[in-house]
Amino acid sequence: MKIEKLVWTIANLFSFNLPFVQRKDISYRHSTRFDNSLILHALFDFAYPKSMELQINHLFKTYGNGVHALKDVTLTIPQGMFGLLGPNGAGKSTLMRTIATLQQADSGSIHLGDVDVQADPAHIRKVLGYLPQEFGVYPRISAEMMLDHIARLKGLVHRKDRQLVVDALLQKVNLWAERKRSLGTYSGGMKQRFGIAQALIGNPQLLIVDEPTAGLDPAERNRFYNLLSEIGESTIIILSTHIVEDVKTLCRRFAIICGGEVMYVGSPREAVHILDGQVWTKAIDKHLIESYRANHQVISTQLAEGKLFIRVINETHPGDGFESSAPTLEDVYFQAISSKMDLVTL
Amino acid sequence: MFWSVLLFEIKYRLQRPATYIYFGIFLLFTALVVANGGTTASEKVFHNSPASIGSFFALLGIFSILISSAVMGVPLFRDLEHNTKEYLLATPITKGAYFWGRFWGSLILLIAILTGGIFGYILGTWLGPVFDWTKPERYGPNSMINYLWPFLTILLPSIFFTACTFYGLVALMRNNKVLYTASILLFILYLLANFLVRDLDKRDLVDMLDPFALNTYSNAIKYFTPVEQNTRLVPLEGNLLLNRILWPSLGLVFLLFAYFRFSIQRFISGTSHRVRQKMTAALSPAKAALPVFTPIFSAQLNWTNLWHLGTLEFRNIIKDRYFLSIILGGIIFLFIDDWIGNLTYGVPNRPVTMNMLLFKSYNYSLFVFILIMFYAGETVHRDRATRFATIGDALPVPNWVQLGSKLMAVTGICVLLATIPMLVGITVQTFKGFFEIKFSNYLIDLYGITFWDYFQMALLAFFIHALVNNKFLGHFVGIIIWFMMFVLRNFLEYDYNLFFYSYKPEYLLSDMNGFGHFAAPLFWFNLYWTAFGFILLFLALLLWNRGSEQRLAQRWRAFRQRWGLRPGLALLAIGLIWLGSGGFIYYNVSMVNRHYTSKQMKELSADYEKKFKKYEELPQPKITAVELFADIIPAERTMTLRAVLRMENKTSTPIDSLHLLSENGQKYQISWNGHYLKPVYFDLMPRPRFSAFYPVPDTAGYRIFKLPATLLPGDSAEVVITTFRENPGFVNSGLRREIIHNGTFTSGGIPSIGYSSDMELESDEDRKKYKLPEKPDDLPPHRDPMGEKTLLFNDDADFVSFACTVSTDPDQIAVAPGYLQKEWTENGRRYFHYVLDKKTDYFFNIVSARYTIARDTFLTPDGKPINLEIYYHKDHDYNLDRMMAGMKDGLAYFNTHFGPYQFRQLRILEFPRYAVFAQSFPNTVPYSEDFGWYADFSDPNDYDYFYYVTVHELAHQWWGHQAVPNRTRGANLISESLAEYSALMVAQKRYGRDNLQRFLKYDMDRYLRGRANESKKENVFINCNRSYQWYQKGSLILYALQDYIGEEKLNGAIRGFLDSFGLKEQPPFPGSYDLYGFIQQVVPDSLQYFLEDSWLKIILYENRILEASAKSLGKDNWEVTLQVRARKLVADEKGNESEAKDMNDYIDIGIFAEELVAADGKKTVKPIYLKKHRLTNGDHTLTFQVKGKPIKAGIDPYNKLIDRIPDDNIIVVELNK
Repeated sequence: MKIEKLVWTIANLFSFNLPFVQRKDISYRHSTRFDNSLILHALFDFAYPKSMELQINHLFKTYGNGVHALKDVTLTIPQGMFGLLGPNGAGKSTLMRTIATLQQADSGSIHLGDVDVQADPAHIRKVLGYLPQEFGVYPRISAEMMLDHIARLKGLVHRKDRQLVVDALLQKVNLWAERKRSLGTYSGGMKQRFGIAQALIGNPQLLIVDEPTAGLDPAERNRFYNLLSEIGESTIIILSTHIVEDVKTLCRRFAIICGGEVMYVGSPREAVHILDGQVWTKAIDKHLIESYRANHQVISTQLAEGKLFIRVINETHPGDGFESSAPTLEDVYFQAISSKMDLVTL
Repeated sequence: MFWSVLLFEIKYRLQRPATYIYFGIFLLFTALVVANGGTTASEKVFHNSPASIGSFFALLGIFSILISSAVMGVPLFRDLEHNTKEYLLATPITKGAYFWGRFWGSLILLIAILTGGIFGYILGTWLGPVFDWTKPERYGPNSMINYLWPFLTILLPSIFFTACTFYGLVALMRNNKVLYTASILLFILYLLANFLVRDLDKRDLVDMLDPFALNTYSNAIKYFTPVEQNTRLVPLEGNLLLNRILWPSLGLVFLLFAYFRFSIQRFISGTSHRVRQKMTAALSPAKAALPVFTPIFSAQLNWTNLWHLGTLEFRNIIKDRYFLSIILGGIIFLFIDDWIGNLTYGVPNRPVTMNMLLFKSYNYSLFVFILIMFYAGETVHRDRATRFATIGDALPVPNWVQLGSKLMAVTGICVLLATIPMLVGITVQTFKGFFEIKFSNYLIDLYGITFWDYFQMALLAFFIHALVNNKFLGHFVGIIIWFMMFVLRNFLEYDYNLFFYSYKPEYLLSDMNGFGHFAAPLFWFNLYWTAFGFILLFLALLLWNRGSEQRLAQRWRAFRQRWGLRPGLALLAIGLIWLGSGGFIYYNVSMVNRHYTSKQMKELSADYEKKFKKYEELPQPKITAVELFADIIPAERTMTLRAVLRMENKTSTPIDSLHLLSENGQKYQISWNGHYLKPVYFDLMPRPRFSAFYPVPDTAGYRIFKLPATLLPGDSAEVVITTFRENPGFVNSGLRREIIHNGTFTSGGIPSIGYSSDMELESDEDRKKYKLPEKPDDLPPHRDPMGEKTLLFNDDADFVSFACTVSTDPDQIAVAPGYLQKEWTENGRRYFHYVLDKKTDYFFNIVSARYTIARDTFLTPDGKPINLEIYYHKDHDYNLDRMMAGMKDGLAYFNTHFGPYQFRQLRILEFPRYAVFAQSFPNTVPYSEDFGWYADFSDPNDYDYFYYVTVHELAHQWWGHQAVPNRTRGANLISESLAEYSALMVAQKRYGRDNLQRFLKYDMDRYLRGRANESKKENVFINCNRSYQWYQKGSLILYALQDYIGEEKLNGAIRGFLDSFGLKEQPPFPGSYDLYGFIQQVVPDSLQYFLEDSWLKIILYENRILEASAKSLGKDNWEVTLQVRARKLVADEKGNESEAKDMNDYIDIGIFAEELVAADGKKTVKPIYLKKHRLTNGDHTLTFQVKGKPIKAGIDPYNKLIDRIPDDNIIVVELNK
C-alpha cells in the first residue's frame, strides 16, 4: 500500500506519466483495489527504459465547429502493439491523424524518441506507416503499380527492392491474384487490404492503423492479426478500434478514449482485475430499466431470450436479486466511458 | 407524384444560397453593364432600345451556359454525389415523375434566375443617370414588352436548349464533368458561326449554326437604322425564327432520347459496365517473411520523386478523356482557323507561317485558358478529390516536391499547348502544298513568347487553387480575376500593363520586319510577370495545404512554421528580379516615354479644342516649295528630318506669327529666314498617369512663333524645320510602326500649320461630357469661298514643288515621291535624291526597307514609256503579275478615258502589316503587306482585290492628285468614289460582270451596315462625310449610273470635269457639286430622277421577286411569268423611312440561263433576258417569251439599286411542262 501511494505521489509531483497512473482514471477512484503485481510491473518498466517510445503530452485540439476533439491527452506509447479503444467520435482518429502529421494540435507535444513530431513532420514521415480510416486511391491504376509508386516515395530507390517488397506484401494481404486489377474495381475489403499493404512498406518504426479491420471478413481479419504480430516488437504500432475483442487479442497495452479524454491506460489483463468482484448482473423487465438506472450504475444492457440483462457496478453486493459476474474488458470499457455517454440503448 | 417532385425541387433550390447568388450575379452584371453604357447601342440608339435589349439577351444566352450547366447539372447528379441510392430506390418514385419533375423544377428555377437579366437591365437604366455614369438621354422610356419579347423569343429558346442538353447528358453519362466538354462544344458552335460571319455567302449557314442566335440576331438587325433600333420590336421571322425553333427542338429530341434510355435503377447504382479484368492465375510465390530494405532518403531522392510524380501527374492529365476532348476542340478550331484564315472579299491567303501563328490568339486561346485554369485546379486538388491525400500526405515527400511535381505536369501541358499551333500550322501548310515553312518563327513565337503566357496563367491558377482550397470556388475566382481585368481594361479603360497580371504590349509578326521592335518589351514583360508568378507560387508553397485540416487559421500557422531564412532569401531573390524588371519597364514606359490613359487623351483633345479653336480661321502662310533631307537609321529606329520650306502669305492680311501643331508633342527646331524662332509654349499636357518620376511635360503640340518681321501679303520666307524622331525604349501599348528596322513608312515629321479640327473629340457623348457643342462633322457648305480656296487633304499648302534626299542603311532602299536623280554611298550610308518635276499637292512619304524590285514598262498610246516598279519583300512574289496587270490595265483605261498620267513612273512599295491599307502619293504607292501579297487567287471566281486595289490607288493619281478636292462638303467623293468607280470599270473589263458581283455585294452590305451604325446623321451622297458613303455608296451608285446612262457618257462627263480642274494649281479647287454639274449634263431627262435620287436623297428600294414560272413553248422557247414587288423608300438623315411618292422607276428584270463553268473553273451566268422596266410602287405580273431554258429570274437581279434586303431579288424559276 505504501509503495503504491509513493509511486503515485512521485508521479504526480513530477508529472511523470507512468502507464497506470492517471489523474482522472478509474484506477484512482478504485486505487484501493490495486494488486501488488501491477506496481512491480511498473517499477520494472521504470528501471529498464525503452529504446524508443512515443510520448504524447497534454495534447489539445478544438475544431472549427467547436468540437473539443482532444482534451489534455497525455500518453506514453512503447514499442509493441498499442490499442486505442473508444466509441465513435471519441477522438481516436484525430489523435492518430495528429501523430501521423496530417494535422496539428492546438497545444501540447508529441515526441518520437527525441524528435518533435509537430515541429519536424518530415522526419516522422520517413519512419511512418499509416492506414487512415478513410482513404481513396487512383482508380485507374493497378494495386501493384500503386504500391510500387508509394514504395518509391518511401525511399525504396532500387527497382528490384521494391519489386520484392511489393510482391511479398501483395501475398501477405492476399491480393496477389488481383494485383493487376485497377484499384477502382476493388471491393471495400480489398481496398482495405491494399491500405494495409501500403502502410507496411518501408519497415515503419511507427505504424498507425485506424480501424484496420473495418470491412474485413473474419478470415481476412485473422490474416491481418497474424501479419501484425509478425511485424515484431521493435515497432510502435498504434491500432484504433471500437471492437473490444481486437484489443484483447492483440494489444499489450491500450487506452480508452472518450470525448477527447483518456479515460484509462493499461494492459487488458490488468484492466479486468480492477473490477474484480464489482460487476453484478440481473435479468429485469424492460420497462423497469429507468428505476434501475436511478438506483444503480448500469454500464450495459443486453437482450437475451426476451429478457433484459443489465450489468451494474457496485463495490458491494447491491442486493435486490443481483448476481455476481466475472468482469470482462467490455465492462471496463463501458465503465470508463459511462461518465461521458449514455450507454443504455433502449 | 410529378408535382410533388417538382415542388420539392423548387423548394429545395429556394433554400440553397447558390440560387440567390446566381440571380444576384445576373442582376448586378446586367445592371452594371447597362448603367455604364456597355450595350451594343451606337450613339443615336438608346441603351434600352428594343434592338439593344435583344442583343444583350442574346449575349446572356451564352453566359447562361455557365448557369445552365450549374443548375441543370445537379438535380440528378445530386443523388449520385450524396449517395442516396440506398433509400431512394426504396421509395415508390416513378421514372417519369423523377426525371421530369426534377427537370421542370430546375428549369423553372433557371428561368427565374435569368429574369435577373430583366430586372438588372431596368435597374441599370435607373442607376446610369443617378450615378452619372451615362447621360439620361441615352435611355429611352422603359416598356415591359421591350424586355419580355426578346426574353421570350431570343433568350428562352437558348435556355431551354442548354437545359435539355445538360440535363440529358447527366442522365445519360451519370457524370457532371461531361458538362464542361458540352459547354465548350456549344461555345465552339457559336465561335464557328462568329468566325464564318465575315463571309457573306455563308449567311444562312451562320444563321443556323449559332445555338444562341447571337449572330442570327445581329444579322437580322444589321441594317436597322438608329430610328428602327429604337422603335421596332425585332420580328421573329425568317432565319431567326428557324433558328429559334431548330435548337430548342434539337434539345427536346435529345432530352426525350435521354429519357427513354434512362432508368432510375441504373442511374443510381451505376451499371456494372466495368468488366472484371481477367484474373492472373499466376502461382503465388512461396510465402516468406517480409523482406527488409532500409529506405534511403537523400536529396537526390526528392529530385527523382519530383520527376516521377511529375510524369505521373502529366499522364494523369493527358489521359483524362475530358482533357482530350477539350484539347481536340482546340485543335479542330485552330485547324479551321488556319485552314480558312482571314478572308478578304472571300479570298483566302496562302498559309504563310506568320498567319499560322496569328490564329492561336483567336478561339484557341480560350481553350488554352480553360485547360490551364481547369487542370491546374484538377491537379492541385487531385489527391484530395480521390482522397488519396490521407495516405499521400503522410508519405515522406516534401511539400516542394508535391507542389513542384504538379507544377511540372502543368508546365508540360503548357509546352504541349504551345506546341500544338506549330503542329497544326505545319499540317495545314503541308496539306495545302505550301512548303515555305519558317521554323524559326514557330520556335521563337511559341516557346519564346506564347509559352510564357500560358505558364504565367498556370502559376496564377496554382496560387488561387492553393489559396482557395476548393476546386470549384477556385475556378470561379480564377475566372473572376481574368474577367475583372478584362472589364477594367475594356470598360473602364485602364490599360497600364504593369498592373494587369500577364498582360504585355501587343505584337505582330511580319515577314518583312520579323519580331522587330516587339522582342524587347515582350522579354521584359515576360520576365516581370513570370517572376511575379513565382512569387505567387512561393506563397502557394508556404500555404500549401497538407493533411486533413483546411482552415485558414491552421494554414496560416503552417505558413509561419514554414517561413524561415531560406524561404525568405529565395523570396527576396525572386522579388528583386520582379521589382528590377518592373522598374526597367516603368522606366521605359513612363519615364522614357509617356503613357496617357484614354480618358486623359480625351481630356487633352477637349482642352486643345477649348484653347485653340479660336485660331482656326487665323490667316497663315502656305507652303509653296518643299525640300527634305532625311537620315534614317533603321537599327536605332531614328530619323533626322530637315525640311527646307518656302512659305508664302497668300492671304490679304499681314501675318506676324506662325502657328504650328506637331504630333504627340514632337520637338523640333525652326528657323525663319535664318532666324531661330522661339515658341510660346502652352502647358496643355497634363501629367501622364503613373508618372511620378517623369519630368514635367514641356508643352502642348500647339506652338505659336512670333515672326521676326511681319509677312506681308505676297511675301515669302525660307523656313527650316529640323526634327529628330526617335523611338526610345518601349511603350505600354501601340505598334509604333513608322520608323522600324525593316519597312519604315512615314509621312509625318513636319508640324502642320495652324489649328486642325482632326484632333477634336468626335463622339457627341464625349463632347457633352467635356462641355463642348455637338459636332456635326460637316465641312463648309458648297461654294464656301474659304473652302474652295483650300485643299481637302491639307490646308498647309496648295501645289508645291518637291525634292527629297534620303539616306538609309546600305542594304535598304529608301524611296520618296519623285524621280531618282542620284544614288550614292557616303560614310557607309546609302543616299537617294528624288525630285518631282511637276508641282503636286503637299503629300509625301518616306519608305525604307530591304526590297527586291520587279520592273516593267507601259507604253502610252502616244508612245511615251512609263516605268512600272514593284518594291516587295523577297518572299512575297506570288501575285506580282496581278499587280503589274493592274497598273497596265489602269494606265491604259485612264489614259484613254480620262487623260494622260502626269508622271513617267509608277512605284508600289510593300510595307509591314502593322497597318492594312494602301495609300497613293505622287507616283508612289505604299501598299500593306497584309493586303493581298500572299493571297491565293487560284479560284478564278474569286474577286481579285489585289488587282482592284492596285487600280484604285493608281486611279488616285488622277482622282486626288490631278483633280484635287477642295475643302467643302462632300468633296472627298472626287477622290474616293471616282477611284472606286474607275477601278470597277477596269476590273469589269478584265474579269467580267459576274466577277464584280461579290465585291458589289460587300459594298452593299457595308453601306447598309454603315448607315445602321451611324452615330450622328446620314448625309446625302453629294454631301458625303463618311467612308461608307464615299467608298461603298459611291461605288454602288456610280456603277449603277454608268449602267443606266452608259459607260462612255459617264466617262465623258468625268473627263470634262477633269479637263476643267485637273492639275489646277490655283483656287478655286473642285467640290462634289462641280462633278455633279458635269454629270447632270449628260444624264437624259428620263433618268434625271435617278441622279437626284442617288446624289441628293437617301433612297432605298425594297424590291422582291414573289414568283417565277415558265412554260415551254417548244423549240427551246419559253414563256416566263414573273410576279415582282417594287417598293421605294426615302429616308431622312436620322433613318426615318417613308414610302416614296410617285415611283415610276427603271428597274432591271432579268431571266438567267444555267450557270456555265469554263475549263478553268470560272463560272458565268448568261442572262437570257435583261431589260429595264418602268415599275410603279406595288406588285406587278410580267410575262416574257424567251429563248433558252430559264433557270433563275429576278427583279434588279444584280442589285444595282440600293436594296434594303438584297437577297430576295432572285428566285429559281418553276418550270411547267
